[in-house]
Amino acid sequence: MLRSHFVNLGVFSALVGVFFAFLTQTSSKDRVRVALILGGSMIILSLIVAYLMFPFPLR
Amino acid sequence: MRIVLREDVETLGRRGEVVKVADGYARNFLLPKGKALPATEGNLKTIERQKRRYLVVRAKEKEEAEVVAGRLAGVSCTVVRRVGENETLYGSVTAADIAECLEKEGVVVDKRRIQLDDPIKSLGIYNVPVRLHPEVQAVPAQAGRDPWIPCALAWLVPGLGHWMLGRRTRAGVFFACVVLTFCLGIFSDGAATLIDRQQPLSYLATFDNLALGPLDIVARYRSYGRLSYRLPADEGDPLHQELTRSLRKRIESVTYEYGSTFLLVAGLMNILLIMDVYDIARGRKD
Repeated sequence: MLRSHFVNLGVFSALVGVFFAFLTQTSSKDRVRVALILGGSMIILSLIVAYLMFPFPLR
Repeated sequence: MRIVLREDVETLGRRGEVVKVADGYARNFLLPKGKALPATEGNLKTIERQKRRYLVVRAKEKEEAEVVAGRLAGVSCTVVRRVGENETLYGSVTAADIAECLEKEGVVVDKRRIQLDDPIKSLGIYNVPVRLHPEVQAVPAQAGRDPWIPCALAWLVPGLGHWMLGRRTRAGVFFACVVLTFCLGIFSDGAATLIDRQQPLSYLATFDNLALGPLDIVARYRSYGRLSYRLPADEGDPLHQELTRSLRKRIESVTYEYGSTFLLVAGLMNILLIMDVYDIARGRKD
């Protein structure tokens, strides 16, 4: 369905970010903040890890 | 500049503490507002005396607050309002209404201590925290609230437990998050996990899948064409061969790993939701 790694990463981060924002926060402002921080940091950290793993052989 | 605090300042410290702050902050805010004094020997002695008196008063206040909190633990309030479409109230229920209702129940609480961010505007059961003292918070119990029914509903349909407890917005968002994650897992050729004795972690993963309730049944039918939870140990078993064949088809898909991860995450989300519903129903969380 979603064959792009990045789209998968983006959708996954967004869903998890929104989920935890609503689970842990009560005010709308805090929810937006937590969702953006969580989702954003998941994407950024994944890209960093992916960049560090780039030199690894595929097989 | 070294100053001694005359009252609790959230960002600096408690009454009587000596803290170091920027000169401008002290001169322009803390000293003129009477929140602090320069930390001279004389001031320190005066504050220390005041602090001792204050601690005695505060301990007494805390004791009284704990007594009220104990009484509030057994109180539930019912506020009657006319209701329109979609269970929306005509008007709203405010902190003053709750204080009045509590008074009828024999507990007098200042309405400013009732922590209601926004007036209640829709039908439901709400846990409203009451900050009786900086160190004492009470949450009125929901009389007769059995946490197991909302938990069971949360397991059956993600978000339904929150809906039942009056958290309608959260319920909708949780339902959307879990179901969307589940659907992405299914349509990305993810497979529900089967218990395999040779792989101990498969027990955990299967338990996680089971947390999705009826959605797990859908996942299993879609993954294997039947409702199977266990991979027979005997490789010659026709069921073993059939399940392995179905799984192999899934594994060949490029998105199998993504799909299975999405399914596992949907299950984990629902476990958290069930635990959250339990806490809300027990009054441990708003």
